[in-house]
Amino acid sequence: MRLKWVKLLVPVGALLALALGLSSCGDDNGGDESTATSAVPKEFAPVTAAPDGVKTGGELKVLSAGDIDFMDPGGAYYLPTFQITLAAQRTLLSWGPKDIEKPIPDLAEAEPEISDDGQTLEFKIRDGVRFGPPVNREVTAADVKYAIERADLPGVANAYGQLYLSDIVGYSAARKEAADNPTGGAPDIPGITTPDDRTLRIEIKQPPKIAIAQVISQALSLPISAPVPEEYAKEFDAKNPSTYGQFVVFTGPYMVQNDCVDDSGKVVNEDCSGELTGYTPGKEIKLVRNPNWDPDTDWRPAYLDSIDIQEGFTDTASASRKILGGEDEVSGDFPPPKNVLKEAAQDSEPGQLQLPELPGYRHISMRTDKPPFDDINVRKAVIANSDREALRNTRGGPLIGTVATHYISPGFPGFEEAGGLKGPDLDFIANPNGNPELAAQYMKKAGFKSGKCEGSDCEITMVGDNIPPGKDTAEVFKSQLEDLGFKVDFRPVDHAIMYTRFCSVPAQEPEVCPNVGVAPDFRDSQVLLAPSFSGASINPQNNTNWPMLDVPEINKAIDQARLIADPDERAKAWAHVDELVSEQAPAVPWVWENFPIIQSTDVAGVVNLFNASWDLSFTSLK
Amino acid sequence: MLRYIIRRILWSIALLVICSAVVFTIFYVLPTADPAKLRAGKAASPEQIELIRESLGLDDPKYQQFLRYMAGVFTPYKNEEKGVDGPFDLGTSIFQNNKPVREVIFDRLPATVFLVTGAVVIWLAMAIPVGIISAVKRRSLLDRTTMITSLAFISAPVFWLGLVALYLFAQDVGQFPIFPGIGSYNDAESFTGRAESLILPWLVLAAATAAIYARYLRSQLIDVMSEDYIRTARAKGLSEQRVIWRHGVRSAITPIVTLLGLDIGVLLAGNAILTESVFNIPGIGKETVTAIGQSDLPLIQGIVLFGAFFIVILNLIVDILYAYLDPRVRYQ
Amino acid sequence: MEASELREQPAVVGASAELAKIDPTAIPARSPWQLFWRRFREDRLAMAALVFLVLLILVAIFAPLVVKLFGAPDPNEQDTGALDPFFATPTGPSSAHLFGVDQIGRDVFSRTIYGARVSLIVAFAATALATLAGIVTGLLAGYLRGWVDTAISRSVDVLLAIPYLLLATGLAVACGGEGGCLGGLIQPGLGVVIFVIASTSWTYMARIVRGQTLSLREKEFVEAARSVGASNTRIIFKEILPNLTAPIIVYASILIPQVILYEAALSFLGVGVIDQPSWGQMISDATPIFSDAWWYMLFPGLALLFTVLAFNLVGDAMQDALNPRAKKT
Repeated sequence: MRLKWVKLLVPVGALLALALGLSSCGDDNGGDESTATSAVPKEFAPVTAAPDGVKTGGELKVLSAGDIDFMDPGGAYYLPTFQITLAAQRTLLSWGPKDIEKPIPDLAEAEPEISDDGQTLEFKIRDGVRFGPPVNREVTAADVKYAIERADLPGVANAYGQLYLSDIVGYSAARKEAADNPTGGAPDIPGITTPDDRTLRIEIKQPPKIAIAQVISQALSLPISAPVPEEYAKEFDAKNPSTYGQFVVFTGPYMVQNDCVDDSGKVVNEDCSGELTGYTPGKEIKLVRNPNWDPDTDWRPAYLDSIDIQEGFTDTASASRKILGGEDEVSGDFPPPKNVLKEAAQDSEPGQLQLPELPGYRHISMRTDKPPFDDINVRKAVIANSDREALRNTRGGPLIGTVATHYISPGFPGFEEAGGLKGPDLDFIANPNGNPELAAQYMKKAGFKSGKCEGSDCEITMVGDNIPPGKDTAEVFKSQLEDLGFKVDFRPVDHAIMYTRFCSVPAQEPEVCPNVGVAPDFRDSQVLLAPSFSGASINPQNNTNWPMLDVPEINKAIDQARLIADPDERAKAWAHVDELVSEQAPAVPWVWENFPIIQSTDVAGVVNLFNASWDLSFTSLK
Repeated sequence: MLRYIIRRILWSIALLVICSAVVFTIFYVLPTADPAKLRAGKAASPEQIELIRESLGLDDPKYQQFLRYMAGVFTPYKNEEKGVDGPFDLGTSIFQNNKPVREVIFDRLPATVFLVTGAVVIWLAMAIPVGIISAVKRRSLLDRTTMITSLAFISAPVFWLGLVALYLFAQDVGQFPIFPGIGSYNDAESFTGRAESLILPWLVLAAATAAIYARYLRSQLIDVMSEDYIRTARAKGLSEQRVIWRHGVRSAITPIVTLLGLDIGVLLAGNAILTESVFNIPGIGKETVTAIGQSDLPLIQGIVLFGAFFIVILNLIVDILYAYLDPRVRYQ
Repeated sequence: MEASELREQPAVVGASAELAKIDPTAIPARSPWQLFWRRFREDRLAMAALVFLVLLILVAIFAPLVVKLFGAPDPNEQDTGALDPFFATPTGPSSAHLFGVDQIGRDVFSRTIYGARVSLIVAFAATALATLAGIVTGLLAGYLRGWVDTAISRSVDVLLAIPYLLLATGLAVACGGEGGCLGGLIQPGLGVVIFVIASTSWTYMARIVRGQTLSLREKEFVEAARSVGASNTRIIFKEILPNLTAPIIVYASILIPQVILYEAALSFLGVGVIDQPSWGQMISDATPIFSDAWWYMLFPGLALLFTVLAFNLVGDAMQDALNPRAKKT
């Protein structure tokens, strides 16, 4: 189907304004219906509420290029997977479309009670939340306890539990026990108790801190706290890897279709096993209504009757055109490529293209522990030389994001304190298009008289994506490095392999990793800075501190900032960490992104700003 | 005749075994990197890698691995511990959610068969008349133009032809939107819908091969037409048309038939890769391209082996057919 | 003879056989080469193609000069100014960029010129290797017969059984991982491509050389040499090999265009040459944006088309010149 040729009223004007006055456009407070940031013209501002006269019913088709990572909520750790878990699983706290400051109570009745000394955290579980078929019974606190405990099992492969929950009493011991005995069931965590069916109490190690409790509370907005019934799941969890992922039960308004229900979410088979029939890996995920979901217990409206996620649309250009010209379709895990984005921005109907901010940042890391980048002057030279606007342009023009200048991204606490859009007052990051003379000066300071790199240390390896736009970013950066005299051996590999075999494994990590980035797990600046720049985060596997930065002053500042409970003080403290990190020049931050998402004309899509994706519980068909 | 058939069958079996050995060598012996690492997939922690090493038995001496591999392919040998599930165990893919390769192949086979069959029909329909007419009207303007055009089609890379065809004729992006474009095979719901989405791919895939066959038929026909028995037929007073058809074409056609068998085999076993890639048709070729991007070694290995098997078996059939048609072959 | 050999018997039998048929008194004495060249020259189109190829080779060798001559930038230079300011999409042919730019601003004209290098290097190197391997194995198989012949012919059968594109991609992926193949002997890049193409193409030449050797060894001059007591090596090098030169050259020239397309296919699939501009890879890069950025797909494709066409025309004419029978009737 051809695109509808309805031109927007003021696209050109908006774009001109965009190009001319980025830094002069106010700041980025959210708060109203369409939360436009300075970088996004009003036309493409994400819509975060359902329209008046919203209609119920119908099936939405979500077109995706790849697959989710894990259907098992214990293992899920991928933004496209979260699009499903936000609609199908109820976690203690969760994120509605507009919630960008903190998560709201979901499975919990209210925000947790934190004791004055920060020693305990208590959640009251809501009444009336039931598991979907075949479990059917009401959710109790014990189900959340089991969910957190089972995430320690190697067979569940949870990647973030120990990052945020290790301050819970007995957590690390339980984790070790699980590693030693992977098929022995989920070990008990003494610090998590259930005084009664409706109460979940968490005890924090000495010395307890309110700030730690707050972080734990935020972390429990991730799928790790989605309840899992032990009596049902333990036979699956006894295997390594766990097979629960094929038999997941759901608590949200939607569920992945299993052998108990039909297409409309009605129970048709009382004698069912719970095996997911709606999930064909790599092909399709079918979400139907959860018959046991009680709308009175939930803030989600759930207008749609069913959602069909179709995977395998690797040709994102034609998939995007299909959505724009089609019916009942929205984009899933891919942004429209540059040329289709142009068509969408210029020719589509209002609202078809929306540009929510993607929290976090993308950066190009340099290994600070090995030559040639162990010399700070060399690193400063590389940053000074890099044309970050050109890097940003590999993903698209100004519409898809602003050139980043530091690491706390817009909207996060501490952003303004760390310098806002303009960034810290450092000469090597001042010019988004690069400053070759300054770069040459820094190279000379590093001992390279010619202003360019000389010697065998200048032969470096770079491992990056093998498909655009990641590949393009890597190529552009490669040529910028070569301008400075480096000889770069670029190895393009699959994106996941780039992480799991190279960049996230210090033993194999090359000098430069151009396609890394941080997607924050919740809205606290700790998650933007600690995993990427703290010496304590360095891990022989799944390492996220790609620059291998280990500076005592920064580590100390991070440890201190972690423990501050007062929001304003905390913001200032993290901004300070951000400055310290920037001064160390460990990486080239290059974009704070907007993630373009598109919908067909007959879809009334609502955007979930936490996930920068269409919120399946609030979206409806016109 | 029977002795010939038996000899060919025995040689084909030997060929299958040797091909498996070659494939095994390429994927297990040649690479310098740790085979467990190459097969570890997404979660490559050292524990996972060791798990993979154990579950695939990569620590055992190479000959043991090789025997296990061969047993899994040819015999109903099953070994759950080492992940072997014979017969026809072509391996387990990493990135297709650990599906057995043979399942992946059988899932994707129909699309490739559909693509190749349509292309064959079209290229025969184009090549035969063009070849015959060009031979008959040799050195005429028609002949020279068609020969140059066919040479152009042979010289153009098939994936480029595909892009040009899409640029000109695809419904969503083309200058003259006539045919369904990229990805329309996946959208199509009915048989006719799918057939419609394959029209451009058929034409593109057929173009180069039609050109080759037209030229080949033309040169075969020209050679045959200068043979003595043709002159005799003419001398006997047979009309030119009869001479061409009954004597000329019939003997020129036989090598074409066998060549056709080979080409179909080669296409089905994976050369349609380029066309499937450009048009996004979910066949075996496209699967291979995806596997390449993900470095899904077991999947590629399984597909290569499958391709080899297919060609060997097709060769066998064609040889037997040829022996049936041309008695010279049998008597040695 | 196996059925497969009967099927694939090339139309040309043997240069010496044909040339020997010519009546020596009827035509003024000319060397076989002069006659060959004379016939070749008659084909005007092939001559034009030959001129084109010579030009192409010169352009490839002097690529930097050619690029400068046209005022185009370096092929790896990324001109961000040539991208659309709002959407960073590439722009088409303009005065600054004759053939437009690619998705990161590199000049397509430059890259097309430099791409000729990769295509020609791979074409000649892989063909040379394949031909060499083919000659050696074909000679041995055809001359020595017996178990040597069987062994070699069977190996050829095995290699022919595995579809070459799949085999090539399999090899390229297996050897594309860390460390390459054979303990690092074969590294990803140009080396792998040439190795992979050569190792799947030598069978073509081997078959032909074997067939020719088989018929040549029965000729009288060989028998004569043998009766005088010449060693096998002498016979192979002094009697047989010289008579093979003409068909070898002809068939090598037919192999070259196939190798060029082969390399383009491998580059298109992403297992070919990565770090240098290559026509196949440029077309592969153009695939996501070809509907808007047609220039990026068109020019490398035309380059491939004309190059391969030229080689095909030359190869055809050489084959015709070697086998004048086809032109007589």
